[in-house]
Amino acid sequence: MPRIEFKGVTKTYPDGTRAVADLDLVVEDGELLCLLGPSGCGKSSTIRALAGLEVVSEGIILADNNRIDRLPPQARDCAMIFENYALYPHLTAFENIAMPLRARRLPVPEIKRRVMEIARILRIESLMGRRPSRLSGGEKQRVGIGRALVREPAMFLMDEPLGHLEAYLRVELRAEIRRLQERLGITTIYVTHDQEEAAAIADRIAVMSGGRLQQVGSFLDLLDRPVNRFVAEFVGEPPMVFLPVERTGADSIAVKGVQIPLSEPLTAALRATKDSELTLGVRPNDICVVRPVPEHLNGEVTLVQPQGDHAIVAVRTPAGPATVFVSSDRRPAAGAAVGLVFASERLYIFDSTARSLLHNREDSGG
Amino acid sequence: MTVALIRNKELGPGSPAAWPIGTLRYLVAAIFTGFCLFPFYVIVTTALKTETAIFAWPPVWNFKPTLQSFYNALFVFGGRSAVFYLINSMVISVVSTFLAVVLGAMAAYAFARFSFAGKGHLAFWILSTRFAPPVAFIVPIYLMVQKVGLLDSHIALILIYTAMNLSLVIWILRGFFAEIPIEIEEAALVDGYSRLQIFWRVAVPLVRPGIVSTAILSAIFSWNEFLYAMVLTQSRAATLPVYLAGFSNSMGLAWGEYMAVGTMAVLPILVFTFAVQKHLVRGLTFGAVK
Amino acid sequence: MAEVRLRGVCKRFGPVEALRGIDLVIPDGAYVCLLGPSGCGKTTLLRCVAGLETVDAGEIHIGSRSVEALEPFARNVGLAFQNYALYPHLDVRGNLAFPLHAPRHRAEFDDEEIEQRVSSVAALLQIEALLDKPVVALSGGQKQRVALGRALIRNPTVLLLDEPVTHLDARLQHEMRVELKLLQRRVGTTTIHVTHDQLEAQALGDLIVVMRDGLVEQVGAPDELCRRPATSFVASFVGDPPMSVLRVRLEREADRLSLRVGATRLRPGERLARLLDGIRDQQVEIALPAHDISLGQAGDVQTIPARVQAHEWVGRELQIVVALDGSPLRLRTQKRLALRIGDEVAIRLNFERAHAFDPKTGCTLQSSTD
Repeated sequence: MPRIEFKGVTKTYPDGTRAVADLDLVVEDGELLCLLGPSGCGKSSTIRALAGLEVVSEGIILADNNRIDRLPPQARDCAMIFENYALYPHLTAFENIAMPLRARRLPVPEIKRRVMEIARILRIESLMGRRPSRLSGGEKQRVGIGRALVREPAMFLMDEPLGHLEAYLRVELRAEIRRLQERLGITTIYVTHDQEEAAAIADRIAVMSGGRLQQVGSFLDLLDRPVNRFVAEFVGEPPMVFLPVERTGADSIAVKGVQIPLSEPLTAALRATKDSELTLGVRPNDICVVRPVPEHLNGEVTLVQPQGDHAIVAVRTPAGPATVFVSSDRRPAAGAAVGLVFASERLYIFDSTARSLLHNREDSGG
Repeated sequence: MTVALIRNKELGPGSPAAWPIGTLRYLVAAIFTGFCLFPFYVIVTTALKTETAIFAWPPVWNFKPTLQSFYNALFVFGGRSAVFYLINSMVISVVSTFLAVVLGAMAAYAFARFSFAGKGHLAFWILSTRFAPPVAFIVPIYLMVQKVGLLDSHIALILIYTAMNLSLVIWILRGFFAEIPIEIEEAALVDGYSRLQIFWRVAVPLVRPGIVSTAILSAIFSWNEFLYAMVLTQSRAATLPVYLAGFSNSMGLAWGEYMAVGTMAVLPILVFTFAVQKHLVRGLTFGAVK
Repeated sequence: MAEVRLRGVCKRFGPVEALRGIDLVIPDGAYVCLLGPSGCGKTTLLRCVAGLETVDAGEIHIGSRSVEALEPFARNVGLAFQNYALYPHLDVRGNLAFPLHAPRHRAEFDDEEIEQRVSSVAALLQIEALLDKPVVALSGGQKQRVALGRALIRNPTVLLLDEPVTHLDARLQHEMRVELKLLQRRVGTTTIHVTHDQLEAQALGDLIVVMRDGLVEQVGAPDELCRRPATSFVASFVGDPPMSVLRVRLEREADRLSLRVGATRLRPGERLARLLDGIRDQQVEIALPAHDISLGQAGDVQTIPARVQAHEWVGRELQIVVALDGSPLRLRTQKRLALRIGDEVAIRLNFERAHAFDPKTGCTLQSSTD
C-alpha cells in the first residue's frame, strides 16, 4: 500500500564497486513498477536495499514518508520472491506457505484458513500436501508467491521470479501475478532483464544501467519518447536500428549520401544543435521494404525469420545492419536486394553524448 | 582495524550494539585458538630449551633456543635413531594413503554413478566398518597377521590402514562425485571418451578438493595410529608413535629429546597439509554449468 | 551432413512412456526444431539420436548407417547442452580440443591439425580472444559459443542443440538466434534444435516438429503450422499470438447451422458452414486467428460478452485475454484502452479463416486442399 521513495540512494560495496548511484525514484501507492535493465545494472541491489538485505551507503528510503532504511528487514513489512523459489525442501507446500504465519504464532485454525484461501487464489489447493521436490517449476513459484502473499505485506518485491521457467509458463504466471497485484492493490516492485515481461505487466518501468536510473515511465512513454540511446535500444523488440548519419546542413541529414526526410519537431531539434556526430535511430516496424532505387538506402537481405503473420528481416546496408518488421505475405527472400524507406514521423536522432535530440534537456525522467 | 572489520560485516544499519559484539567475537575466537595451539607450543618450546630451562618453575617464557635435544635424539641415543622410525612411518603412511585414495575414488565413483544390485547394502556395510572401536578387532587381526607370517612387516600395517581409511574416503568422495553435473560426463561420452577415461580425465580432476581432504585425513590417521602399530610391529616396521611410547628408559624420561622427536613427528604432516591446502578450493565445478 | 531417419522409436522410463512411436525424417542439411511443452519428449528424442539414451524399440538412421545400437562416439554427432556442460578444469582451448584428444580418435589427429581446427572453430564462433581463458570466467553467451565450438570441432554429421539459448538474457537470446541460423548456413550441418519457445522455432526452423506427450503432432514449415494446423494443440501453441481455440456446440435448425458459444448463438459464415456440413457430433473445436477476434459494442450482432482475464502490451499493440465459456481468447488491438481485469467487453468473432477440429481427437476437420 505505501508510496515508496528513494532519495539519493547510493550503494557502494566494500571492494569499491558502485552498484547503485544516486537513485531518485518514486513508486506510487498500489503501483506495479518494473526495474528493467541488463545484468549488473543495479536493479537487484536496489530491491535488496529496499528489503533491508543490503545497507544503503548514502541516501534514504521512505515508505509513506517514514524512513525505513535504518530498519532491519523483519520490521519493513515487505515480502520478497526470489528467482530460485527458496522453498524449504523438507516442508510440504502447505507448511511452506504457513511458515510466516507460524512465526507470528497465529492460532492454527486461522493459519489453515488463510493458507487455503491463498491456495485457492493461486489454484494450487491440490498441491498442498506435496514437498517441493515433487512440484514443477511453475508450481514451486506459485508456492513461493503464496508464502509471500499470506503475510499480507505492505510491499511485494520480486527479483526475476520467472527466470527459471519455460516461455509459455512465464507468460501464464506473469498474467497471474498481475491479476493478483491488481486485485490486492499491493505496491509491487518487479525486477527483470526482459523488456517484454516489463511491458506486459508494469504500470510504469524504471530503466537502469550501470547503477543509474535512465528513465522512468509507462511502456509506451519509453517506447515512443526514449531519452537516450540506451533506453531506445533496450526497450522494444526487435531493438531499434542505429545508423550513423552525416550532417548535410543545418537541418538535414543523410545516410551514406541518401537524404533522410525528417518531421518538423525533429528538424527543429536538429537545428538547435551544432553536434555533427549524430546517429539515426528507427524502429524495425517503422521501416518499409521496397524495390531498390537510388533515392533510398539499399541493401541485401541476409536472414528472414518468420514469426507468425509477420517476419523479422535482417538487411545488410552500406551504413550497417538493419532489421525490418515485414508482414508475412510481403516477405522478401534471403539474398534479395531491397530498398529501405523510413517513416519520417517516427525517427530519432542521438547526439554524440547518446542523448535523444527530441528529448527536452530540462525535463528528464519521463 | 577491528572497527573497520566490524563495519564490513554490516551488522545492521547503524545499530548501536554493533561495536562490542564484534570485539567480543574476536576475543572468544582468540582464546579458543590459543587454547588449541597451546600444547603444540609447549612441545616445540620444550624441544628447544636447555635442560635447566625445561624444569624451571615458574616456566621460562624468554629462553635461548638450542638444538641440543634434537642432536641428542638423532645421533647420540643408542639403538636405532629416530630417523629410522620416521622413515617407517613415512613409507607406511604414504603407501596406505595412496592406496586408500586411489581405490576409494574408484569405488566412490561407482557408487555415485552406477546402479547395481545391492548397492545400498554394500554402501551401508562399508560405513558399518567404522561403527566398532578398532580395539575390538585387535585380537583376530593379530592372529591373522601372525598366521600369514606378516608380523613386524610394513605390508601388514599398510594393508590394515588402507582398509581402515577406505570407508571414509569412499563416503566423502561419493558426495563429491555426485555433485559433478552429469552433463559434463555425457559431453565427454559424446566426445569419444570411455567411462574409465572419463573417470581419470574429467571426474577426478573435478573432485580435487575431495581427493586432497581425504588424503590429508588418511595420512593423519595412518601417521598417528598407535594401537595396531604397537601390537603388530616390533623393531623392523615400528612407527614413530611406537618409538615415542617406548621412550622412557631406566634413566627416566628425557623430556627435551622426547619433545624433539615429538616435533619431528608433527612436522611432516604439517608440511604436507600446508603444501596441498591450496588445492582445497571450493566450487571447482561452479560456472561450468548454469 | 546427412539425413536423419527415425522409425517407430519408443522409449520408456519406468512407468512413463517418454516416446510412443516416433516416425520422422530430417532432411540433409536442414535446420529442424523440435518444439513442445515440457514433458513432451523432445529432449529424450534428442538424447536418443545422440546415443545417451538407448531406444526400447525402433530404428534410427544417420545417413545410410543404422545407429540405434551404437555408442555416442561412434555416431559422429555434436551435442551442445542446455547448461553448456563445459569442462571446468580446462580453459577454452582445452575444451575445444578435448574431443580431439580422446584416445579413440588420437590416431586421427596430430597436434598440428588439432591446433588448426581449434583456431578455425574459434574464428567461426568469434571466440579467438577467449582461447586462453578459464571457462568459469566466461559470460553465458560466451560459454554457449564454446559449447557450440566443442560440438562442431569434429565436423559432426549431425549437430544437436538442447535448448541452446534458454538460459541467456532476453536480448542476447534474440541476437544468438540470428547467429545460430547464419552459423548453420555456413557449415551446412544437419541440425536438430530442441526448444519450448515457439517464436524461436519459427524464427530458426526450416521445419518444425511439434511434439506432445511422446508423439509428433505435426511437421511442417513455420508458415504451414500457422496457417494449416493439423491439430487444435498446434493451433493453440504456434503463432504470434497463437490461435484461440473455442468449444462450440452445433445446432441445426431446418437447414441452417448455427454455433452456440455459452449463451450466444452465432452464424458460422459460408466457408465454415460448408466445412461443418457433414459433421454428426454436437461439439466441435474452432480455432480463430487473433486478428479475427476483435472488440465490438455490446448489443451488436454477432458479439458475445466476455470478461477480461489479462491485458498486456506487446510492442505497440494491446493484447487482451478474455474468458469465453471457460476458454481463453487472445486478441490484439491498436486502441489505447484502460482496462482492468474483470471488466466486461463484447467480442466479435470472424469465422472467415477459422479452423475446425474434432473435439475428441483434436485433429483437423479440414481437407488438405482447403
